[in-house]
This record gives sequence, structure tokens and C-alpha cells, in this order.
Amino acid sequence: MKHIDYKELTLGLLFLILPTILIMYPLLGFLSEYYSLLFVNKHILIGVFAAGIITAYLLHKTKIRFLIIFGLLLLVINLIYSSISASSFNEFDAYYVANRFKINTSIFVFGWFSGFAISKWRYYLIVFSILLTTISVILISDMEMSNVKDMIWLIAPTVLYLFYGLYVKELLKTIRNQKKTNYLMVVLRIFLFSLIALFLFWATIQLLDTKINHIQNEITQGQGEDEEGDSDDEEDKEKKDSKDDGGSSGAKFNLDDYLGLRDRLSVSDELLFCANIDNFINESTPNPQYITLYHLNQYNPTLEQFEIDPDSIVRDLFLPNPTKIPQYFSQQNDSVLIYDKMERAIKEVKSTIYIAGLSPEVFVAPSTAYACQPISIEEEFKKDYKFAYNVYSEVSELNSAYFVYNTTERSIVNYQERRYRTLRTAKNYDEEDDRFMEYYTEVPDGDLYNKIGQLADSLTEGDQTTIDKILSIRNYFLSEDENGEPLYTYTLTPGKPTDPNIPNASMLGEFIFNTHEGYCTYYATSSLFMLRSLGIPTRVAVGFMTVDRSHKTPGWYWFYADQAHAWTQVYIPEYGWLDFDMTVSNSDAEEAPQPDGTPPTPPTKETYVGKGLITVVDTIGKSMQVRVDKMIVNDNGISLDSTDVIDMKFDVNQAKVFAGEQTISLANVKLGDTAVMVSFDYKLGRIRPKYKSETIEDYMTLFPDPITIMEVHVPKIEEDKLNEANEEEQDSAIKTLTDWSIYILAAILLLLFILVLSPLCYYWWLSKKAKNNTSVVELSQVNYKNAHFVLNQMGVQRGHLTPMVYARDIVDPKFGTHFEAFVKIYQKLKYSEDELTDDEVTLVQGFHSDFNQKVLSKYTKSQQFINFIKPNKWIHYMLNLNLKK
Amino acid sequence: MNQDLEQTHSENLKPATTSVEDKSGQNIDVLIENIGKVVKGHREQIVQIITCLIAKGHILLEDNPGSGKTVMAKTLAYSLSGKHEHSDFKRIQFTPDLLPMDLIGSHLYDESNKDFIFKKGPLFCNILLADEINRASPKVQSALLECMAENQISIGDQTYKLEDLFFVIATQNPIEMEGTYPLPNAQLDRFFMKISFGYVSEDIELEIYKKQLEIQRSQDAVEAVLNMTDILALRSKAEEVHVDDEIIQGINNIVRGTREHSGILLGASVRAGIILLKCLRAYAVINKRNYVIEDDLASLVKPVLQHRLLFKSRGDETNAVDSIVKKEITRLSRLNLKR
Repeated sequence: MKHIDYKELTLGLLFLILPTILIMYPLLGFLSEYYSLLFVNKHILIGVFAAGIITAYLLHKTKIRFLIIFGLLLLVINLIYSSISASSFNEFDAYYVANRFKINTSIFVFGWFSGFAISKWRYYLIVFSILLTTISVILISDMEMSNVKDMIWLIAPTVLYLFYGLYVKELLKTIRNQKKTNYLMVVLRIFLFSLIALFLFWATIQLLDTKINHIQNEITQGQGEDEEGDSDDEEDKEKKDSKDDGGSSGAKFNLDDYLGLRDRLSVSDELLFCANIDNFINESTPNPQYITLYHLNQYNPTLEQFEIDPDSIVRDLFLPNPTKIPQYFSQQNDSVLIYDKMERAIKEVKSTIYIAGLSPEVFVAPSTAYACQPISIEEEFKKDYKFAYNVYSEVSELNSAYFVYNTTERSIVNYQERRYRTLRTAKNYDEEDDRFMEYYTEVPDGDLYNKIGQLADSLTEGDQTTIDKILSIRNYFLSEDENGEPLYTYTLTPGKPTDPNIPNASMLGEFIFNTHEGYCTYYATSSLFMLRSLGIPTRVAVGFMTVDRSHKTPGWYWFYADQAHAWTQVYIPEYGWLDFDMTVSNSDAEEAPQPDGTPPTPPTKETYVGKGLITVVDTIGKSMQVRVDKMIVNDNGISLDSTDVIDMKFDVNQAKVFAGEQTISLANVKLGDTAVMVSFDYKLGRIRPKYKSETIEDYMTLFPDPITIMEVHVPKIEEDKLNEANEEEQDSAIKTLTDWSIYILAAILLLLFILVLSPLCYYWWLSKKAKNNTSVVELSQVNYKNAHFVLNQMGVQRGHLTPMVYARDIVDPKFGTHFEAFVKIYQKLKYSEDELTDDEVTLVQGFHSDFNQKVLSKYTKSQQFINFIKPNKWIHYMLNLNLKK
Repeated sequence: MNQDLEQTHSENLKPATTSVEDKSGQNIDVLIENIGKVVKGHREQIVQIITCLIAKGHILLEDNPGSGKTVMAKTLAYSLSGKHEHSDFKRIQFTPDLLPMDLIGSHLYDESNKDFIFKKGPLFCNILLADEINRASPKVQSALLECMAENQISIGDQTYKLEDLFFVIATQNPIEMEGTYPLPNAQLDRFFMKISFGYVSEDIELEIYKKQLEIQRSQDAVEAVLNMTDILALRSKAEEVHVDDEIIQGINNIVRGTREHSGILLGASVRAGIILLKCLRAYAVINKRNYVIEDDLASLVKPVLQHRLLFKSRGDETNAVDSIVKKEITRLSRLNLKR
């Protein structure tokens, strides 16, 4: 057996391997998160890496045949991998398992190699750090990380780690060559070094903070000029644009930007969705409606942005989550129809939205929508669109997107004229509810808003009707200055207020009274305050501008990310909220970044839809049994009472199973889930609706058994919940892990404490015993123990000497005690039957204090204390010197 | 049989008074000191020889020529006063042509009485120095060893008792093995101890050279400090030494340990254990104790047992016994007081 230095091994593990694992932790986290490595958990990844590096390091340090084991390991891993990827059982798909295995093992092998290399090669750390830096750089570029500080925090630890690692490695190398090493000093030095390095790094960052911020600003401005492109990862998007958490949407673009006044706005040209809006003027001319996401009633003057008012008195916003509605079933909210205050010129409009880049959880519709029905997508369009739903809206006949964008189309011009005429006859606001009026005409206090009010007054001088006032304001935005140039221009980068004398100057004021440059939100905000100051109830809507670009497919509209828009909605009594867009023309948005696609053909008419809990799934016979509680037969909803619930058998041989947007195999369908079974079978098309009088059993005899099903929809929510549950489980596992580690740490600390204190207690106990004992025999015993204990703690150890030799040759010459005489008496007590003489008794009685005093006087108080509490000596005493009965 | 004999002897030779005891304890120191004047730097060996003397055993010294074996034996003999001015000390140089008769003695025809009379050989003495015992033929060796064991000589139908105090110091030369008859293990077993002298330390060697004349003079004029009665008294005193049960357990553990040790081919016999016990008692007397302690074991086990064992390897030869003893000493030293 070769010699192994365990202390050096421990130091290496603690100060070389542990930091390596720590440095890998965020990086692996980023990697697994960003590349969404097949649901591989980063904790598992780091665990695998740690296992690899530690095993390899230990194996190499303990000089066990390393290369052979490594070779064997690679062989075994390869074998397992090939066997996994080759195997497939019926529905079981081994691809994910194999891939996960591959990722885990490659991380393990990387860890293994690192452990080996760190142990063996002096300069491997440099290679390792370069590798890490490279990965970081790739990550930064891939993630389009634009924050300089983030970049610093990603790269700096690696650089620090490099210096740290080199230092520690050298230190360990030097101590290996030394004969005697003070390991405490080594540990202290490493700590000091790390501290100094960390401090220097921190100080540098602090000192350069302003400069970094400066660079940061330059970078962001530079990016504003040349537009960002490229699409983001789909999964990220879904996380971001949940409508429920108060307001963001879209993929690359962020609708939040449209809520307020920013100095710049970046847009992309990704296709978000396409819509078929069944709204025509005179049955032939399409009348596109703006697609609303939500409308905003509240304005925050400090941040200069709009907010959703949770306590709004007008609740006319229908906000379902389309993915949570079972396929072909509709969710409806009729209360919005009361709140929208529409009484005249109402038109029912059905639209179909095909979602492409947008999150399907976001509900977009022409206002005022009141019902949503998810539908299937024809097979050939499934790769383009991930979700589709029908929307039913109540739309004013007077509402139109053609407002700013002048058109020569005769029917539209006529329509607009007619519209203005009608609106001029509209009632004034006298009959309106005071609270409603107050809420929608609220203008913040301040010079700026007074000035806006004055401007509005001057612009609308002489106008009598609401619509004339609106038109005057629109004309103002479209007007030309004395040079014949347009007064207002559209820009995505209006920039910050330039007047340095006014800090935090209002972007709004800057827009209206100075630059006249801005994007839609500026126009919407300005007109909002102008109109409100005139006493006209106004609000801002956020959504998508509808552009009719082509006449080939009337009623079909394509929506790209740069069509995200904000505009004003004005309340006209009896006609409700009408869209008025004051934004000057923006040629970018009118031209499609790519030609409009073929409109998706509507899916075959569904003849049967059944919803219920899955009770049986037969993956081999390809059939399912569902406890149906709701059915739609040829558009006739048939709701079943709980007593009527029946198990229906379905033939799913031709069916596709969808979980959300994903197609899954039948084997992954879980019992107890709610499933929606859809059939397009024309044979079912002849089935009549259920008579009220007949029982469900009788009605069911009209259906074939089993019913042939084309689509099975399993909610994706279940999966989410599952993930959540998993996460929770992991969280709790981590929690228990941390709890346990705290317990273990506490136990170790307690043990250490006991170890440190127990020698002292033992010493006091012995002294007390020596004082109280009257029996010479017991006293001798105590003295003997005490002497051995004290000498042991002071480092004068007996080893394998007999007590007599030890006393005579070592102790007495060193301390000038009478230990030999005492040992003689002790041996006499031990091995003979003679009684002690008086002299001997006196010696035993006086021995304890005399001995302790003589021995301890050779040491200083601090030496005594340190020696007494040394646990290793204490353990040695307990193991080797403590007496047995 | 051996034991029985010893018992009868001890009964016969019990000293009349007990007052000698204290004196004899001191006398041993005087004896050791007396020998130490001549044999410098070998106190340990002197003590071991005296231990054997008191334990009624015999000793085999094995060392290179010129290490002081003969001087040691002579000085010991001269330090003890016998019937005459000195104790009866004989020295026989063993050679291959030596005959048992030369040791034991022979019947001679006495013309005056017209009868054969027994002419006693050199064995009839108190202390016998059998020099280079391995040079004699096995016949002679076994004759000597028989006498050592039986303490009597049978010739024809007559039995001649040897002296009460009969102590053999045999020496043998480890080098020049040619033409020698090494003692078989069975015969080695008869010797209580086999010890070697080894070279003295540099200081003592220098002292020996410097004070050579002085040492020579004191060697010539060794005083008798003890007489035979004292030795016999010490022997009987040794028999009274208390041996604690734990020490007996220790002897047992050690002896059995030699049989179980992986590095030892042939372990110690029961006789070896008995001899060890006897030596321990004698050693305790020498150290002026009437009880045996673990230190005694530590000092005696190796000289008593080493030559009785057969080892697997050279490493075992140096370490095996030590490790057994160390283990036992550790056990004994960790025992609590019993009373």
C-alpha cells in the first residue's frame, strides 16, 4: 500500500473540488434552463457532476488503477446507452430516457475527467477556466444578454476561480514537499487569499460602477437603432405573456411597452396570429375591427403609463384562458354585454383566431367579446398554428378600423360619411351616470394637463358635437406645419426629453409641445387627455391594429408583432365604446413583413363532442371509455345530469391525442383526466337532438357503439399541475435536505462541543473524587487515572512502555514528580495481597495535588487549556489508557 | 518428577530464620554490584543470570568470543563463598573428543582397599562453566543435560547426588559452526534462559580500555559477598512470592499466544510456562518484591521463551514475541485495582 496523505486529500477536496463544483453550479443552471435540456433538473446535473469529479479525484489520489476504471466506466455507459436507445416497448418512447441518460452521463464523464485532471495536471485549471469562459461567452451571445452587469457576474467568478485554483494548487504542491505542515495555517491562507481576491473584485466593480452604467446605456441605445430580430424560445414566451398577471403579452415584443411612454420601443415582425373577422359592410367590403387585448382606465402620471384598474366600475372585459376551455365547448360571460352599454346599431360578429407566435393562453378578440370556443385545426395547418378558437363579439356597426388610414374605397368612404352623420345625432352625456362620467373624464392635476386642456379647447373651438371635437383633434395630429411638413411624425425611438434644465421632464409634455415625435401610445395618451379635458369619456385600449392588406381573402387578417398597438376608445351614448385612432400613419406597420399566408381552412364540421372523465384506456385495442357528462351533437349541447352519467365506449384507432398543443401517445393518457372526444364522422351527422322527454339511455341507442373518434383532447393543465407538484416535491425535498443538513451540522457542533468540554469535566471530576475519597485503594486508582490523563493531555504519552518504566524513565526526570514511587505502590495494590505501610499511605494521599502542580507548572495557562481541550488526545486516552474492570 | 524433586529440596533447605530476608535483598544488590565491577555494562545480563540461579535453573550464554562470558561466570562463582574460601567452581572446555566420563567421573581401582572407588568428575561442584557446549559430542551434551535436569548422577547401581546448589552456565559460539553439534531444541528447552551479551556501549568500552588494569586487578581479587546459605534462602524466598491471578493469566496468554501467533511455527510448551513462572518469582525477589508485576513479564518473557520457539521468518524472530508481550502488558496495565 502506498502512502496516502489524507490531510492533503481533504484539503484538495475542500478547497479545490468544492469551489469547482460551486463554479459549475450557476453555469449548469443556465445551460439546463436555456437549452431546456429535456427536463433535466439542474440540481441533478450538479449532483452528477459532483459525483464524477469527487470519485475521480479520490480514485486518482488514492492511486487506485484509474485509467482502467475510467475505460470500464465509459464502456458500461456506452453499453447502457445503446441498450436504452435501442429498446422500445409498445408505446413507451425511449428517446427521452436515452437522451436524459446521455446528458447526465456526459456531465458525469466531464466531472470525472475534471477531477482526474485537476489532481494530475498542474495547469489543467487554466484549460478548465478557458472552457468555462467560452461556455459563458456562448451563453451570453445565445441569450442575447444585453446587461453588462449580468455579463460581468457570469464571467467574473470564472476568472476569480482561475486565480484561486492556481493559488491553491501551488499551495498544495508546496506543502506536499514540506515535511511538516501546519494545516491550520494552510486553511487560513486559502481563506485570506479568497477574501482578498473577492474584496479586490468587489472594489473594482464598485469603483467602475458608473462607467459600467455608462457602457450599459450606450449598448442599449445602440440596440434601439438597429432593430432586434430573431425569435425567442417558445417556452420562455409562455411564461412571460400570461395575461392574468396584469399585463404583458407577445413574444419578442412586450405589450407592457404600449402601456406607457417610453423613450424607445423595439418591435419584431413575428407572426403572432391570424384572424377571420366576419364583419362586412354591405356584405362585401370587409370592415376590420381592432383586436383588443384589454382596455385601461387608470393612468399613473409619475410613471406616465396606464394600468389596469382592478376596481374598475365598468367590467366589460372578457378574459378567459382559451387553453382551459374544453375543445368545442364555449365559455361565455354575458355580463360584459350589460357593461358595454351598447344599445343601438349592434352587430353580432363571429371571429376565428388562429394562434401562431402568441401564447394560446392570451385571449384576443374584437371588443366586446363575450364567448370563446376552442376548435381544432386542420391537419395541414397544425405546423403553422398551435391553437384556434372562435370568438363571439358584440360590435357596434359604427366601429371601424378605417379611421386614420385614408382609403379611396368608395364603400368605405361612404360608410365613414354615414357614420359621422349618425354620430352627430348621438345624445350628449347629460343622462349618463355621474360616477361613470367622473371615472372616465378624470385628468391628473398639474400644469402639463392644464396646458393640454387649453390646447384641446383651442383646437375644438366652435365644434358642437362629440364627433366633431374628435375629428378636430385628429385633424390637429394630421396637420402640417408652415413648411408643409407633417406636424407629427411616427417614431419608435422618441428619446428622452432633451432639455437638461428640467429633470424628469414629462415625456408627454415633450411630445405635445416640443418634439411631436412618438409612437402610438403617445398619440393615444395625448388624445385621451385632450378628450377627457373636454368632458368626453375616453379610455385607452391595447391590442393589435388590424390592417387589410389584400383583397384575395376578404375577412382574413394577419397580425405581426409590430402591429401591437394602443389607441383611444371614446364612449358615445347608446353606441358604446368606439375606436378612434389618432396615431399618424406608420408605413412600417401597413406593409406586411411577409406575404399573408393561405388562410387555414375551417375544420370539418364536428358531429360529436363528448367531455368527461376517462375511466378506461386500452392502448392495445385502441379504445377508451369515458364517463361523459357533456355532449355536443351536431351543435346541440346536451348536458347530462349527474344521475344520467354514462360510460361511453370510443374507438380511438384513428384518433390523435392532444395535450394542449402537443400530440402525445395514447399511453400517456392518464385515467381520471378530463378528456374531450371529438368526432367528425359524417354518419353521426344525422343524429337528431335529444328530446326532453326521452331518457339518456334511449337516446344513446341512436349512437353506434363504439363511436369512432378522430381527436382526443387531454388538458395540458394536468401536466402543468404535475410539473408544479414535481417542483413542490423537489422543493420540499430540498427543504428536508437543508433541514437535515442543519440537524447534522448541529449534531456535529454539539459533538465537537462535548469533545472539547469533556476532558475538562473529566479532569474536574477526578480532582473532586481525589478530594472526597478516604479509601486508599480508590484514591490510588484516581491518582493513577489522573496522572495518566494529565500526562496524556500534555503530550507525554506512555506508548507501549510499562507504567513503571514510563514513570521512572520519562515522567520523573521530566517533571521531578514521585510518580515511580506511586506506581510501585499502585502495583503493590494491584498484584500483591500485602497492606500498605503508613509511609505509602501518606504518599498516596499527598500525591494528587503534588503531581498535578508539578506537571502543570511546566506549562503556561494557555498551553494547559489548549492541551486539555484537544479532542484527539482525549480520544486517545479514552481508547488506550482508560482502565477496565 | 522435576517438580517433586524441587519440592523435597526446598523443604530440606529452608533457612532456619526469616531475618535473613531483608539482608539477602540487599545482598543481591551487593552481588550485582560486585560482578558489575568486573563485567562492565552488562547489568541486565547479570540480573538474568542471577534470576536463573535463584530460580534453580541453568543458563545458556550465546555470543561471540571475547564478549565476557567466561569472565562473567567466573566472577559470579568467586562472588559466592562455598565450603571453601570460594564456592566450588569448575570449568570445562568442551571439545569433540570429550567423554561423558570426563564430566561425571569414573571408577578407579583402589589398590589399598582392593576395590573400585568413584572418582568424582567436575560436575560435582556448585557452579559449572560449560564452555562451548556445542563442540562436544551429543553423548557428552546429553550427559550434562541429564545431570542438569535430575541433579544427580547414576552410575551402575549407584546414585550420586550433586551439590544442592548446582548451577550450570553454558556458553556456545554462534560462529564457527563447522564440526560442532548444535544443541537440539529439546535440549535447549532445559536451559531456563538463553541470553546473549552483545557489545557494550562506546562509553563503557572506552572505560574498559582505560581502566583495564584496575578491572584486571579486581577480577583477580573478587570478594565473596554471598554464601551458599544466602542463595538457598533466596531460593526459598522466591517460592513464597505472590503471583496474582492476572499475572498467571498473563503468563497463560503469552504462552498460548506463541502457539497461536501466525509467525511462530513451534510455540512454547507448558514447561516453558512453568519455567517462566519460576523466573518471574526469582526476578521479583531480585527486585526486592514479594509479588510479581507486569514489568517482570516485560523483562523476562523474551530471554525465557525466545530460544524455545521456531519462527517462520527472520522478521518474526525479532518481532513476534515482542508483539505478544506488548499486547499482554497493555492488557495488564489497563486493569483496574481489584480491591
